[in-house]
Amino acid sequence: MIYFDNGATTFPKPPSVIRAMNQTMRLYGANPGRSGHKMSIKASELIYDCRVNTAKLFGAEKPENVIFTQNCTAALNTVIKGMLKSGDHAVISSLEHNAVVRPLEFMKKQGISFSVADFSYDEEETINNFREAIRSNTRLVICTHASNVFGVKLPVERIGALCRIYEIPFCVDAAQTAGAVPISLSDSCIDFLCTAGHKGLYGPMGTGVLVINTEKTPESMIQGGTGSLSLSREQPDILPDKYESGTPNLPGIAGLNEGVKFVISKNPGRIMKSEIRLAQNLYEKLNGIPGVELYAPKPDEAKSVAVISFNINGMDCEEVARTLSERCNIAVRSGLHCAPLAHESFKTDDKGTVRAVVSAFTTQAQVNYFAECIKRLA
Amino acid sequence: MDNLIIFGSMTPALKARDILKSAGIQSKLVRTPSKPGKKNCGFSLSVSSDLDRAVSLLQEKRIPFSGTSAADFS
Repeated sequence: MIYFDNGATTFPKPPSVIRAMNQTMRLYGANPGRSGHKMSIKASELIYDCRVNTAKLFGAEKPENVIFTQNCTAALNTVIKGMLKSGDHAVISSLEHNAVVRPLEFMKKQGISFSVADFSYDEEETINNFREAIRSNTRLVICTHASNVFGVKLPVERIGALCRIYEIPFCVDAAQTAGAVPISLSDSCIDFLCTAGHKGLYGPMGTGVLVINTEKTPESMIQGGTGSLSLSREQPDILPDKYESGTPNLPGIAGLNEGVKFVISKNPGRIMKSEIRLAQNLYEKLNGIPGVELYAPKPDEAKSVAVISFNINGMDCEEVARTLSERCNIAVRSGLHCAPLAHESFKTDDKGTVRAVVSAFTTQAQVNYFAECIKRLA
Repeated sequence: MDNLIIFGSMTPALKARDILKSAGIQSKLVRTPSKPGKKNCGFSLSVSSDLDRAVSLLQEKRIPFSGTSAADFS
């Protein structure tokens, strides 16, 4: 398939990712952090190596502050449910994924409230919207780094600075930016960075990351065996054990490690430049096709990531995606992309959109072919 | 007889091993031996020499460990 569904998960993966997973299953398939035999220790070392590399990628001081989760949703749930108590208030942006919205909706039953700060192309207006949404009982600000539907970026550095002034913890959903956009926890005043392991970090599905950059940590959501301090009936408070109960996804983390190393070797800034160039080209081609409707400005390295949403007038977005798959062998995602808030913001909630996302492996030939197919459909 | 630096879990033990290695102190990761009447689960670094320097270094780097002990792994 000619794959443009990289916003859901990246494909293909670097060969080193697949090799590492295969090797781990064949040679190091012991449970890490439990036993003292050579295979278990080797497995533990693999996981630790991934913590070190992930910390390096995001400028985290301590590898132990890198927590592995099953996906970005799990990382976000850990922060949201672990930080907020009855009577607390949270602020989110108008572009958030359901991974942020649904836990907060669920927690309304527990006496938590939240406000939505509207995204604006005018950065000052966006910042002002966040400022005005903050209340005396605001205990967490959660914000996506870039929309998974329209690609627009939020000014997380300035939102982080605002949170610092108000002494409110700041959580960033970097599912669409990690690996493609340089991220520094300290520069952006980010207390919690949540991301998927299987998108811009090129790891396998079933991996996610939470990086903690604050001393005030959330309550753990899951308690259980950690292979440590077993005599204690209480969940350990030390990181990463506090959030990693049960057997970890060793093959997944081994693969994620190779994905992170791939990204570090290519450099997120360079990956971004290449992806944006292709996305700009695709945008220009689509923009030139009568009947194609685009919803965000042309991708720009400073203001967006390589995500393009569009529709063809007179066609259901699902029909476009199905035709692309069946007749052109192209993979895209259509619908609401688990982000109804974003679609409401851009007034596409009544019809959804077709979404095309570029990756480090997308080629110009694929972009040209994609545009040709849309031209034939429109 | 080896000296053990005792950790609560694997991650600080591995971090400590890297720090000690950078300082030229060799160590080996082992399961913490049981003590009579007291069993807990954890990992230790077995250090054959330079224990004092190793402990100092880990304290300086603020690596949490629960103590030191002597053990015979021969």
